[in-house]
Amino acid sequence: MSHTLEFETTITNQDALVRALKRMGVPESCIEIHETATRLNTYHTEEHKYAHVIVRRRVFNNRHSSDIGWELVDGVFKAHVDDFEYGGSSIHFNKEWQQKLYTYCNVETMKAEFGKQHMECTETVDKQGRIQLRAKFAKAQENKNRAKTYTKVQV
Amino acid sequence: MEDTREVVVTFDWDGKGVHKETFGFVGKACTDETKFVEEALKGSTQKRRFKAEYLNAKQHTVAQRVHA
Repeated sequence: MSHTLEFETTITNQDALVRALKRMGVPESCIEIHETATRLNTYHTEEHKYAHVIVRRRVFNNRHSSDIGWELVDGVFKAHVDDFEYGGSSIHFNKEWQQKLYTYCNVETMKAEFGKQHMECTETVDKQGRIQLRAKFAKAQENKNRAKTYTKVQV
Repeated sequence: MEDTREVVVTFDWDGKGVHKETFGFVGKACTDETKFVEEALKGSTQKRRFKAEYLNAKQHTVAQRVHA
């Protein structure tokens, strides 16, 4: 081992956020993606909230409660979750649910990045039950060479 | 020689903490060639711990300089 590092992250990748929502069991049909921030249907009508990625709760679990959404502000997705839902009695969209979602989001972001680097990664679970991605540099070189060969054939 | 370099990224279930470990690197290459991990996750580093291989390589370089 050469080096170990611990750091905190933020959500910046929309595709990873959508893939993470699907991993959490949200059907694709309930996820809306908007180029411009769109209004959320919330319980409290006095304050309007807008988001780029929205999960319509009425469609998802047929409950009369607020939508949840993520608004892109300065390149970072900021969550809009009704106070009633956050840490409340709801089974879904509570604090633990969001933490799990963000973990999956980080995993999906990292998988996409390994793909960009031509590295093949495998997903496992460590002794403490945490998700672990292992990526080898040797595979990256093989894949780069393969990509070059493929390009030559195409030409 | 076979390339044994590997990056292992472990994700805490709090949605924030990420641990990166690099294997098979010598010296500064471990930070330089795996910097894309922090950049992809837009992470702000809190704790950095270098392993023996990194420090040995660094000391070796310093020793060489002194010797020269």
